Amino acid sequence: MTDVIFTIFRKEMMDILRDRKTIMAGIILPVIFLPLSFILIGNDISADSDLSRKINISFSAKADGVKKLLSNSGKFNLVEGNWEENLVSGKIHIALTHVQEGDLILIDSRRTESIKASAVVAEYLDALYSKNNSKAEKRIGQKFMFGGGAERSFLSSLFPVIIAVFCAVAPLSAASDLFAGEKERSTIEPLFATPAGRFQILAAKYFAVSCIGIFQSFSFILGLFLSYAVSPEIFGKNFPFGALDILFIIISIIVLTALFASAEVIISSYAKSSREAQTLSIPFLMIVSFSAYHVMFLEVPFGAGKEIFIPVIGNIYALKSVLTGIYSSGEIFISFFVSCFYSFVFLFIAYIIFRRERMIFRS
Amino acid sequence: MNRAIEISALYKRYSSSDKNAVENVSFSAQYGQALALIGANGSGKTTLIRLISGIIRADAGSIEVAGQDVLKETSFKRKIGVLLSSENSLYERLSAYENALYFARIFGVDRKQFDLRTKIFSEMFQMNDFIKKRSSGYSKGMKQKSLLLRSIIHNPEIVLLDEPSGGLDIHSSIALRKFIKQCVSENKAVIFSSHDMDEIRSCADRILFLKNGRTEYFGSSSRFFSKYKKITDLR
Repeated sequence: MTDVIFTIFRKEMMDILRDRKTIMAGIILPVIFLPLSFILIGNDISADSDLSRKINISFSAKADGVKKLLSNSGKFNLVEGNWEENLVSGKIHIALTHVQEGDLILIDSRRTESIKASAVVAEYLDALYSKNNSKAEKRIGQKFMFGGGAERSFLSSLFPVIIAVFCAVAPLSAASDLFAGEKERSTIEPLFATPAGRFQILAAKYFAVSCIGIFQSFSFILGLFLSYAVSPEIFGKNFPFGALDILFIIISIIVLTALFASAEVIISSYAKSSREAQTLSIPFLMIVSFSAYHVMFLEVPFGAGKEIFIPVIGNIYALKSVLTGIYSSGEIFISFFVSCFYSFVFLFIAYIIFRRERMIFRS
Repeated sequence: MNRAIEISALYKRYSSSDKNAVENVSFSAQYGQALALIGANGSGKTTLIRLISGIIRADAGSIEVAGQDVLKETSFKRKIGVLLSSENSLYERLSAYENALYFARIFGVDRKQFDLRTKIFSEMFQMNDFIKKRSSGYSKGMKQKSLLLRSIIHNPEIVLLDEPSGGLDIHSSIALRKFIKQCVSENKAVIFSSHDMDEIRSCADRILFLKNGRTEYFGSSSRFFSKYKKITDLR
């Protein structure tokens, strides 16, 4: 059984990897696209590099430690009084407090200067903690106050969204080609006349589609490193992600791709042609995009609540948390578990479609 | 002589159609014989081959292949080789050699056996010039030869060929007739559909003539040609 699955898988991989369009869209494009995005954003940030001279900050009562550190630097204006009132009135750019995971920068998400000031302060603190080897204080979180405007913070908000949409779009071409495309070209029929069972064919093709995601995760990470090489200012002086963060990003990409691939396999098994599969995928991609957009406005320090049990939303939220510097092992586990569970459910539905003659040979 | 295929009161209707593609068809095919399926376009020849090979399921009736019920068993698939008439059913990013190797692996064919069969077949059908090139650039005839190689690479005891001579040049058509006769001499059962009466006359021991999905004639080739002397008699 596994021999047949491996044989079909190997052939599908060879078939996909010989398709220039798939290679371009899935593997080469992220390596080019990511650095270009970072160059644009990096230029925007560097234009405000003198902002540190003007940053006004208020502190909560819990943030005495960080207050002392910043006051000693002489680079920031410390403003006394109620931090919330100061932030609302615009007297300060940002406020700082301290939570269990580390320092938390409170940002007025309505103001661009507040978001930029937050990046400068986070970078300054990070460098300071690294210099002093203060491992416990290393994590610096961000919280967007007053709603709206959070999309301006690239790393913590937009990055998971890009990953989610990218993971949803990337396996689409392979999924529609390996299922609907094979139906369209009638190449699936001779395969059905061989000893390979429907489950074996489905499993092998699904693994092949998902495997493209693994390649993409590496191309995505490669794109990330290239981005740092060409535009380091967007990340601060030090690369913000450690080995664990990178590992988490890779696992997230694999889990998300596996989930999206299973959903796309359903669509593609049902569709009569590649074109129909891609048309039917549009509502699915819209759901993914809306989910990702929704997560952009979830505030990481407070958790996702019950939404962590919703596939896609849970994963993007967990990714956002990690990129913000907050590791919640419970949420990470739940989000991965939920995604794996739904992948199995989707694959089971695809198997039912794959077995039904009226579905697979729909005319 | 053992029966390779036994079909009884077979019915099949596609969901998109309001009439039966195959209606009350019964026949048998023996090992060591070639059975030709003939009939106009849409008469049910391809549907019959798809039903026998287990690609689609019958609405009613029974199909036994190599003594196994097609609706209940799947191991009969190891004993059949199927060539379907779709011109595009080659994987175009793979060569003919890779296409055949893919199916050989699924059937668990030993690599030495695969190489030997590929060599003999490619010489027989003059495929050496293109067998290792990607099939996207193949002509219709090249594709047909490649599909034929892929369908028989596991040396099946029952060979189902749907319009195997489509697109073949004269030399390859002669090679195909030789190949069918060779299969019969090796005590295999061959079922092929065709519109080429010379090919049928040359290769077929028995004939199943279908008209609108129903059996119009089933019997020996010689009796068929004495009954239907002219092409117009087949209408």
